[in-house]
Amino acid sequence: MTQSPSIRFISAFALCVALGLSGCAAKTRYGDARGVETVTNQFGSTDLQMIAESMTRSMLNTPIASGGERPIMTVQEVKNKTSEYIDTRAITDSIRVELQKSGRVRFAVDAAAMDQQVEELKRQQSDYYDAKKSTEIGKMVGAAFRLEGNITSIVKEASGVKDVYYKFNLQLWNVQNGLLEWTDEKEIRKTTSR
Amino acid sequence: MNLPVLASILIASIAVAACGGSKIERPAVAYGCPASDDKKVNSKEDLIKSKLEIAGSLPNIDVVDLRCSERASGLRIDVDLKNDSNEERRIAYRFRWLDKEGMRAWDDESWKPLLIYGKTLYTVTTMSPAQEAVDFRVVIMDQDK
Repeated sequence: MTQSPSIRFISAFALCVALGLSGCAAKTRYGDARGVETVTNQFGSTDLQMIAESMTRSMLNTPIASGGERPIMTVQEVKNKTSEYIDTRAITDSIRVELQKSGRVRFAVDAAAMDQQVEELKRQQSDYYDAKKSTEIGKMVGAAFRLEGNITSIVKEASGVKDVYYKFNLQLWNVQNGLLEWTDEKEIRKTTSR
Repeated sequence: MNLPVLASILIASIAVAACGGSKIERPAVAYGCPASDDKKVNSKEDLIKSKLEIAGSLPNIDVVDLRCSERASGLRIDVDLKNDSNEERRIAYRFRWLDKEGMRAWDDESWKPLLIYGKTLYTVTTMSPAQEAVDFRVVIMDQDK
């Protein structure tokens, strides 16, 4: 059977379109969770990881954390003073993970987790539990130090260039006497040009 | 031997035993840095070579010095990186931490981006993340590609 030139042309065109569309199909690959991420200049995973690591190593260098007494700390709020949404809890969680893993500090329950802690203590006082094996009320240990901080940013944009400067500040306060025992900053600059 | 001498020896023995119990074992040291691997370190260049891992190629960037200092808080490391070109270069680095047996002592660190201006030296500084992390490798990757 012979095909007319127009039918052959339409068939070839359809084949090209099909091949083109298959080439556009989304491709998913696993990446390096610790790799440098520069998709946009908004706060990203690399910024979070660098801040957590920098703050942790700096704090571990202080006499408080290297004295061998494993001080008890609690994490308070890190205020987001930037113009963008940043989950500051994710930053403090990462800092707490690194500090706890270092084995040099311990963490007391923080304000955000206090309701669950009290709920569990109360639950164990109920008649369902063996009183001899239940935890006692009034035995919780308070933190000697509290961590708090803030993140600020300065954003400037002109002639297709956007410059973002982040500054993360963390402070370790002595709960007993109100003294600032340690503080450090991490600065990050990201520039995007078109 | 009289009683005071015996008592002194006993106290000294107890003190030495108490100190020895809590101390972390450290690898051999070369030029102030841990040198636990089999590679022979006869010069500072050998030391740098044994501690450096380059992911891919890294033109115009040299590690010109490496310094280590043992502190109460852990191992402090300074790495001097020099950009030999006239142009600014962007790299990323991270440290790999090992215990005294050469096993991984800490999770992968994040890659840290770094800008080094042309014909300048930049010192990267870090602290060991835990007492068990007694040895290290510094890993560097090109970010200009």
